[in-house]
Formats: sequence, structure tokens, C-alpha cells
Amino acid sequence: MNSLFWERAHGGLTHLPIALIFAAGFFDALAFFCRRSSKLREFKAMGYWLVIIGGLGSFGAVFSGLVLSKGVIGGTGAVLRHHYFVWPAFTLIVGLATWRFLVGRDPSRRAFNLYLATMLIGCSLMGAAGFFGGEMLLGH
Amino acid sequence: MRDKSVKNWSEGKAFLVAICASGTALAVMFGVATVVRNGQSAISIPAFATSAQAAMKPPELTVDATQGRHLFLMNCAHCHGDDARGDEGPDLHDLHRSDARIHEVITAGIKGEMPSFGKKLGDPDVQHLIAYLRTLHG
Repeated sequence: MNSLFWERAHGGLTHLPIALIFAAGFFDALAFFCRRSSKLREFKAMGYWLVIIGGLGSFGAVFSGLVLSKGVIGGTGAVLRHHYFVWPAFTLIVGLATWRFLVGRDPSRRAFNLYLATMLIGCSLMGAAGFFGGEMLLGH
Repeated sequence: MRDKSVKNWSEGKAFLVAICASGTALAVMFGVATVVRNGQSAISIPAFATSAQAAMKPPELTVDATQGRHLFLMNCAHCHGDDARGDEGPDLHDLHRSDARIHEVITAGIKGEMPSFGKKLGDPDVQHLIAYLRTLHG
């Protein structure tokens, strides 16, 4: 399979977890602000499943990216900038998804707030990784 | 309101496991990267041979050029394409530049267009790359 295949595969496999993780952060943020207990539980359940599926999907995204970059972890130029954000984002997202999976849908308020703050950092890193990934395709 | 029925692990214990899981995931992916890198020369040659532009059998490469090709795939193919026909960067076939000029471009880069490889690649590496680039014709 050639580079074009992996380029397309990486595009497809990357955008799905990005969307899922952002959506997980969005629903968890709604849960943070929500006062009604029934809605709060629904938002947390959405955030729970989305972050787990997104976390699993991130493996496909990283794998296809590694094949596309021929196994380069760092690289140079735009690839390096992309990778500066990819690896911390991937590590953080896997950690967050694992923690949420183990703790369950409804962690304590304090733990949930910390989780949400870390999720914000994870989403920022992922957004930056996506931005510089897009720059490689569209920035020239 | 907390729902105790869905809470499986204590948060502190889950935190430690999450750190282990993310570290393991990173290590696994770095391992995959190594496997991909090592397998690259094996899978890239068929890919090169089957590309539309390279329908002809690739020429026999000298030892220097073979090493140069490996370096090319590791460092340059992202922008110039696996077959050096150009992608983000230009086509590198039939370069009408002196070895010294190619050496300078590789080591110093081109401002705003191409990164510098001077720190990453030593002089022998650049010579191998040049040897490979000199095999690209047509």
C-alpha cells in the first residue's frame, strides 16, 4: 500500500477520535455547568463513552500516522511540529480514557473537575497537533 | 449526585493505572515506529517498483546509493515523495546542480522552504544522499 493510501487512511482515522474527544470534553463541560441531576448524568454518560471510544480510536490515528511517516517519531520541519503535540496529546488522551473507564461514569466532584481541566489541556494539544498536521497538507 | 453503582475503582488507584496505561501505549507506539522503520526498506522497494512512473525496473544501486536511498526514505520522502518525483517538495530527478550545491542545500536548508539537516546528517550521510540522487534519472 502506498503513501497515498496511508495519507487518506490517516486523515480518516484521525478526524474521528478528534471529533469524539472534543465532543467528550464538550459534554463533560456541560455536566460541569449543569445543575439538574438527570441531565447531569446523561451528559456524564455521553462524556464517558465518547472519551473511551475516542481513546481507542486514537491508536488507529497514531498507527496510520506512523506508517505514513515511515516510523519517524520526531522528524523535521512541519512533521516535527506536528509530532511535538501528537505524542503528549496521545499519552494524555489514553490516560484520561483509561482513568474514566476505570472510575466509571460518575467520579467525585473534585476528581471530575481535575479530569475536566486535564481534558482541556488534552483537547488543546490535540487541536495543535491537528492544526500542524493540516498545515503539512494545506499550508503550502 | 454520585452513582455508586457504576464506580468500579478508587480514583487514586485508577489514576496510577491510567499513568501506566498511557506510558505503555506510548511505548507500544514507539515500538511500532521501530518496526515500521526497520521494515521500510523491505516494503519501499516493491512500492517504488510498482509506482506508475517507475514502471521500469529501478537501476542497480551502489552501496553508497543504497545507504543514500535509506536516508532519503527516512528524511526526505515526506516532502519529496517515496520515488523522489516530488510532493510538497520538488522532483529530484535529473538535478542540474553541483554536488557542492546539493550538499549546501541539504545541510543549510532553504529559508522558509526546506529545513536544515546539517545537525542531523553528517558529511558521509550527505555524500550517500548525493550518490542516491545522482541515480535518479528520467
